[in-house]
Amino acid sequence: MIKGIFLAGRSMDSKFKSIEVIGNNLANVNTNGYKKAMPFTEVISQFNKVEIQQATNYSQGNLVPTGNPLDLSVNGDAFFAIQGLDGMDFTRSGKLSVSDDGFLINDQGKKVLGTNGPINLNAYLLDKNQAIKISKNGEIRVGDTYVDKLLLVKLDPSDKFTRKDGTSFSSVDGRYFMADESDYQVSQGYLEESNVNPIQEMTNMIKVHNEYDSASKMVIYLDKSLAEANEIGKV
Amino acid sequence: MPTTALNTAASGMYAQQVNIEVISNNIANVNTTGFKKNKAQFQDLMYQDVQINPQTTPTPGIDETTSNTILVGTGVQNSSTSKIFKQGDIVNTNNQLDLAIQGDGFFQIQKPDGTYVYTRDGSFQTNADGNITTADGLLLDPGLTVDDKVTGLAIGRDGTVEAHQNDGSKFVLGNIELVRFINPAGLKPLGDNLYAATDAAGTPILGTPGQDGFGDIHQGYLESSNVDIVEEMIAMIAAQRAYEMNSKTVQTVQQMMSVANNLQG
Repeated sequence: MIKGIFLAGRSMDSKFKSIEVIGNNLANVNTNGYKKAMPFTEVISQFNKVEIQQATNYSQGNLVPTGNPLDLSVNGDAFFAIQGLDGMDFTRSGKLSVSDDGFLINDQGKKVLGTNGPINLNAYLLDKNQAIKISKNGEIRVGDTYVDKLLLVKLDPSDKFTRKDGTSFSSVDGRYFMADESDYQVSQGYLEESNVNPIQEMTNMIKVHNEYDSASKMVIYLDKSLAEANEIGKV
Repeated sequence: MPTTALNTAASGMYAQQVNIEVISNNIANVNTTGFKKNKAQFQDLMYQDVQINPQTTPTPGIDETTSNTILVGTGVQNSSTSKIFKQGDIVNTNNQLDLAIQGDGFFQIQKPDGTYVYTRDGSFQTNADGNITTADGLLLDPGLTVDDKVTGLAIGRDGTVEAHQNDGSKFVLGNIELVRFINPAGLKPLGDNLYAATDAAGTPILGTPGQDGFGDIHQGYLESSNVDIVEEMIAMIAAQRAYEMNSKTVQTVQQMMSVANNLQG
């Protein structure tokens, strides 16, 4: 019976952490390229180990037009590759600009990678007909001059990923694949909105809140039962 | 531990507050000539590893490892506000020094200290010396000077300025050139409808209107603000609701904490 109190307490604790995950989704309802985190689940694996499973919902967010040539979005199954502090990061947030030294960077100042590494536009910036055009498959042209092709990668869903700030992900074991051109479309002048559905998050929050309350009732009932059990011995 | 969710919700509320500020500035500028609307951009904050704590007494047969962690985000921040350089509506004014750009490009303006700034607001006028200036008296560059013999100006779509004199003759006074940027979203708004060049925007490139992707100049028209009031109102409703949702997180967490406090009845 004492075990029961601990289990109910543990349930309260994990419901609380689920609220933190839901709260973060709600806070990022307007973050471009944000992919919502699902509240985690605890499972007992076939080796009798308690495992935590935490999934990310990678579904497509809405594309909104901005009209800026360096706002890019991916429609489909691919990520932009950026040069992180340690290795490659992946993101769906394509709010890009040009750095002081001519590199294509994202809104965190990290370099965006093309098939030949970081993309430098310095040589083309003084071109009179300098409009940047990015094709559906990610080829960058300044005017009619081919510069490079954006590196678009696909992640293996069975790998483990960590989330990073700036709506980016990195692969724990560093694996990635080149995305097939038929799997994605790059849209220039569009940004991808967060894929958080506020109604779903609110209903989730209510559900988790109620589960938390139920677990707290369990603690109270079990406590009462224990108290009564203690009374039995009294004369 | 329990304050993470509260801080997350607070960051969400703050972000939506900034969002509302940006939207209300757009609405305030719904009639500002050449105004380009702003949009607040957000970024998620760092993620922290949170241990799903093995606080229970061990269960026989089930192995509890301490490496069970989940990633919990810590909220949101405003990363920047970006300008949306969508074309505004072109409105007829019949004023010969009102110029609108249809398409890409900015007028180049010289400040008194010699530096250049850029604008889409083409409500020009002449000053006492006959120079063409903005409504605030800053000089258009390349400069144009009109003397008192000139009775009218005809400005072509390619920026050619033709002066008509009172004796009926006409001559070419000069050319209005436009400036383009590789990434106009990187321009720094200075207020007064002016923008300054930045490294992020790229090098300013002068060109002839109507050529190489530059927009056309339309005489007698002004470009109105590109703020769509309905769109802004809807954005404001959405921001307000998002604010409320984050406040619900605060409420929920607060109720949960109070339940925890009342466990020992």
